[in-house]
Order: sequence, then structure tokens, then C-alpha cells
Amino acid sequence: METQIIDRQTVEHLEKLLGDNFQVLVSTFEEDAIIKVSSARRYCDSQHWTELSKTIHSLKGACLNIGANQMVSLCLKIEAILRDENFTALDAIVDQLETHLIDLKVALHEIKVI
Amino acid sequence: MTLSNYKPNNRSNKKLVVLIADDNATDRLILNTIVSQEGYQVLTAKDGIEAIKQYKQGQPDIILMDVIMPRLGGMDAARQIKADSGSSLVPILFLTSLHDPDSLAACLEAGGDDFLSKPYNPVILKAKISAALRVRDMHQQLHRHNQNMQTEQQIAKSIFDKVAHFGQLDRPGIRYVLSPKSVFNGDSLLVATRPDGGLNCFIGDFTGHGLSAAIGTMPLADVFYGMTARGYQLSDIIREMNDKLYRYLPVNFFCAGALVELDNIGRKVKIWLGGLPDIVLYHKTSGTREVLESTNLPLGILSGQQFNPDVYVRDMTQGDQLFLWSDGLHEAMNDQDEMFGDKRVMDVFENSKEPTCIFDAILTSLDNFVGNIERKDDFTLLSVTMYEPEHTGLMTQLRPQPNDMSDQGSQDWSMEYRMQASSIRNYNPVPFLHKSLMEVQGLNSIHSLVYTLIAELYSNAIDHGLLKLDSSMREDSDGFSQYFNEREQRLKTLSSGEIILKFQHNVTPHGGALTISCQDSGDGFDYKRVLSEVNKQHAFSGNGLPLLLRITDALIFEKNGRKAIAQINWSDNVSSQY
Repeated sequence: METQIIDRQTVEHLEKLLGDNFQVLVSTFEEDAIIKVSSARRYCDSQHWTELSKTIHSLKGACLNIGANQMVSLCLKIEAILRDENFTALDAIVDQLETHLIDLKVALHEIKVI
Repeated sequence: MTLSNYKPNNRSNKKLVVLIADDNATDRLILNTIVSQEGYQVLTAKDGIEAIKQYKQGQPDIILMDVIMPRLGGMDAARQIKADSGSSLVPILFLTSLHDPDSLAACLEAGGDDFLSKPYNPVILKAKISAALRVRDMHQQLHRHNQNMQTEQQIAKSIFDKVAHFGQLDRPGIRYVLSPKSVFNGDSLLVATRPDGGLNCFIGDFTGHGLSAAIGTMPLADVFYGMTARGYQLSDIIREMNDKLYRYLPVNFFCAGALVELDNIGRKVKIWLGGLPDIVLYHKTSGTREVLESTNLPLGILSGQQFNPDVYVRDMTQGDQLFLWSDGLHEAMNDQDEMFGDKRVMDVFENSKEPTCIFDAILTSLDNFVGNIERKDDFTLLSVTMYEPEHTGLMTQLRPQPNDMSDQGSQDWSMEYRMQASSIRNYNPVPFLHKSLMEVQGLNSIHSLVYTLIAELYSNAIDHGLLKLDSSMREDSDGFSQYFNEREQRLKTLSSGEIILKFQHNVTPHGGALTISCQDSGDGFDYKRVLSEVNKQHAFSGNGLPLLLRITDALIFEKNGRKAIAQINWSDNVSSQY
């Protein structure tokens, strides 16, 4: 089964936990994710690997908690590349991260509407 | 109590404070919500530097800390917070999306108490916070108990020191080192002056160390000081010490020790040695040393019936030194696990050219050998140097001191005390008689003098009257031991004889007069010849008749020397005496 962009079960738990603050959480996550993906692109282009690693680690943590599992998978791939220092595929994966951010924003918007 | 029903200890009803340090705004929001819903007050920080600042300002009860944060990471922040928190425990739970064992282990090594993996599970988070706070409460409880225990130990130690080390350790001729492994010392060191001006010392090494070992010193010190003050002889004191420990100490708990009795005229030493390492008697004039081995079992092992003290008697003249130590000295280990050992101690004696430096040389040798290694046992080193009485100020102690004349106690009275052979063999009446005489308030000011007077009169009656010992035996350097041994033998076999002591006290215009007569059933002696010989000698040169002549106001003999009558006067005007 294909991994969902956002895990429904996690979202339900968070809605229940946060109540009215759930919408604040979604907005905060979206703003944060946009900044972090943008930073990742910049660090990738400038080959600042340490900074890229920290940014991806932070993004992965936020995505884990909100259930953004496909974004988590991309973060894990980037972390593996940085660990192995085999950078050939890195640029393409960061591209995927940027593309996926658009899908994620749509999914988050649907959640907000719900 | 189980984890599920544990409620954090919060005596002041103040909300417990949780600090959340995470650079992700979404994570902070989720954690804040979970923690707030549990009733905790929340502080937040976006990186390690803010976390340290919030820790100092907000004094949180627990910290949830992300590992990787900008500016300063969680591990570095944790190290600094742990260093600043001192003895108090502030639990730190690391929040991490790291999963490799090395990273998780690094969290704990940095001072973390637990970790929590992302995504957060509220149930596990709540349980971990409760568990961490429970550990913190237990730590605080332990800390309080430890503080209470230390306070109690300090109080107990101050009482213990007053009892165990209260004696005259600062007396001339005494040098010592007491090295406790813990607050309490398992070794005891007791020094006290007898009523006749002589000196008693005890060094003891109890099984084990610390409080359990030190507590045994209490009854021991009680016996030592009490009986020394009342003038009991070494054999009586050591017997009573053994009896007391035998009654009080549990099985397999005992006290190795040595009791030393220096006479009051700087001539003789008696030593009881039980289970302690060999001791050394260093003779100043000849430069020779004598090693004395323990010939008795430690105290507290044998019952009163089985205990038969074996005592060394040795000549010990001015400047001679006695060295005693507990086994902690020669069992001290260096970093190679070698013991300091007897040989190294003896080598110090062998190589010391200056006798007065031996004590320091032993300590230097020990320090050089052991280095900075922590010692495993208490050790005590004692040296006792024989001084002539005038050097220790003892003769001045025999002089009366001013006293309050308002309550004189018993005034005009007399009493008679008779002893037959069996009592003379087994009992020393001097402490009892001395104590009775001290009912006269005025005599308290000359208690040492009175004690010496009774002891000398009684001893002369036994030695020369009943046992017919020749005092000239004591004149040569080896004579004391021989004299003492002969005395012991003859006393043991004494089958007949009597000594009558009479005491009379009268009031005089400025004080009182005590008359003591001592009559024995022996053959008497040529007191006129002895007195004329004594007059030719220097008055400080010994005990017996010369000493009696010095300390009495009048001394006469009757019945062919079988009866001696001595009188001493006491006065409220000290300067009129002597």
C-alpha cells in the first residue's frame, strides 16, 4: 500500500489532543516546512553538508510528529546520502523534497478544510 | 507504590515546572499541550542556549530536550545544566528522532536520564515524566537522609571525640597520629594521669572501622579514665576493660590494644600487649631498641575467668621512647598492592641517627611508600617519651591548690582498715581508701598527694614488712624488673600477715591535718639506718622513703619500723604549704 502523504490516524490523535489549537499546529508546521525545504535547497547548492544535515534532521522530526510520512522517507534518504557521502543523487532527492512540499501543502489544506 | 499511581511529591502545592527545549515550533506545541494537560507549568526554549537560561531563571523540575538544535545542541546544554545543578537532580529526557544505539547511548552519557523517540506518544511521554519525577523525589529524599545522617554523625563524633580523645593527648612526652578512614576512627587512643602523677596510655584497634568500630571505644574509655583517675593498677584496669568488652561486643568483634603505665618518678614502665603489632622501646642512652611482642589475646575474646594478663615490666629512663602503632600502619598499601610492612618500620629505627626524629621519620617513610593512594584502614602511631617528673610538671601537681572553703564536708573523724593475707594478695585497697578520704572537701585540693602517701605507705608495708624485699635490689639499672618479678612471686604465695591502716583527720585554724598510720605484722626494719642514708641522697632520687619524706609534714616510725605514722597538713593558704 502506498504511504499516505499525511497519516490519517496521527492527524486524528492530534486533533483530539490539541482541539482548537490543531489548526494552529497545521499552519505552524506548514510555515516551518516551507522554510526548512527552502534552507535545504540552499545548503545543498552551496554544499554545506553539516547545515543541510541539521535542517533535514529537524524537518524529519516535525514531519514524524504530524504524520507527514512521505516527507519523512525523503528526509531519511537524504540523511543516508549525507552519511555515505555519495552525493550524486542528492540534488534529485532535494528536488523531490521541493515537489513533495507542494503535495503536502495541498494535503494540509484539505485537513484545514475538514 | 506502582508507577501508574505515582503522584510526584509536591509539598508546596506549587505546579511542577517542565522545560521544553526544541527548535521545532510544531514539536513544542504538541509537547506543551500534552504536558499542560497533565497540570504542569511549561517553560519553552528554542535552542540549547535558551534552555540553559530558562533553567537558571525558571528552576524547572524536569527538562525535555531535543538533541539537535541550532546554536547549542541538547547534549552540550545537558552537560552544562548537570554541572550547574550540583547535588540536586534535574531529570533530562532527550527528545530524538535518532534511533541508532550509539546516538541514544551518547544521550545518556551526556547526562540524560532517559530518551523519548519521535513521533511522541502521549501515554509514554506522561509515564516517562512521572518516572523521572519519581527518581528525582527519591534522589531528594536520599539527599535529605544523607544530610541528616552526616549531621547525626558529626554530633556523634563530637561526643565520641570528647569521650575517646578527651584525655591528655597534649601532655609532654606524647606524640601521636590518628588517621581515620571515615568520620569515626576504629582506633582509640587514651591518655590520662593517675592520682600519683604517673601516666596511663591505651592504644586500641577494633575489628573493622568507622562507627561500628568506634562505638566500642565508649565503654573502654569509660573504664580507662574512671579507673586511672581512681589510681587502679594496670592489671586491674586491663582486666576490667576486657570484661566490659567481653560482655558488650558481639562474637568476632574484639579490640587489639596496648595499655602502658609509666611510673611517677621516671624510672619504670609496665606494658600489657594484646594482639597489637610489635612495639619498640628505644633506649636513649645506649641507642639500643627492644622489640616487645604481644603475649596476650586482644580484649573482648576471653571471659573474666580465662583472662590472665601477662605484663612486661621494663626500665625506662628519661628520654627513652616507646613506639606503638595499630596494624593500619604496616598494612598500608602502595599502588603496587604491596604492604608497608614491619621491616620498613624497623628500618626507620635502624637508620635513624637522631632519636627525637624517629616519629617523623616513620611518617615520612610511610608517606613516601604509599603516595597518594587512599588508605584502606585507620592507623594510629603513638610515641611516649619518659620524662623526669619535674619536666612534666607533675611535682607541682602534688602541691595543694586554692579551693572553696565554704563546704568542708567531713571534718573530725578517724577510721581503721585491716587487711589479712588473702585480701592483701588479691585486692588493692588504695583507690577505695583514697575515695573515702576525698569526702573531706579540703583534701580534694591535695588528692594526688594523699593518693601517693597511702600508696607508698601501703606498698612499703607489703614490700619490706610482709614480703621482706630488699630495696637495694632496685638500685642497679636492671633491678626494677627483677624486683617486680620477685614481688609478684612472693605476693602470690603470701599465706599470713596483716596490715592495719588508720586514718585521722583534725581541723586546724587554717585547714586540717591528716594522719595516716600503717602497721604491718612483719619483722620491722632498721629505719634509723635507712633514714640516715636517705638524708645523704638527693631527695628527688626515688620513691619509697625519700618520696614519703618529701611529701609529708611529719614522718615517724614505731615498733621497730613496723609502724609508720605520716602527717600532712592542708590549708586554704597555698603559699604556706612547702
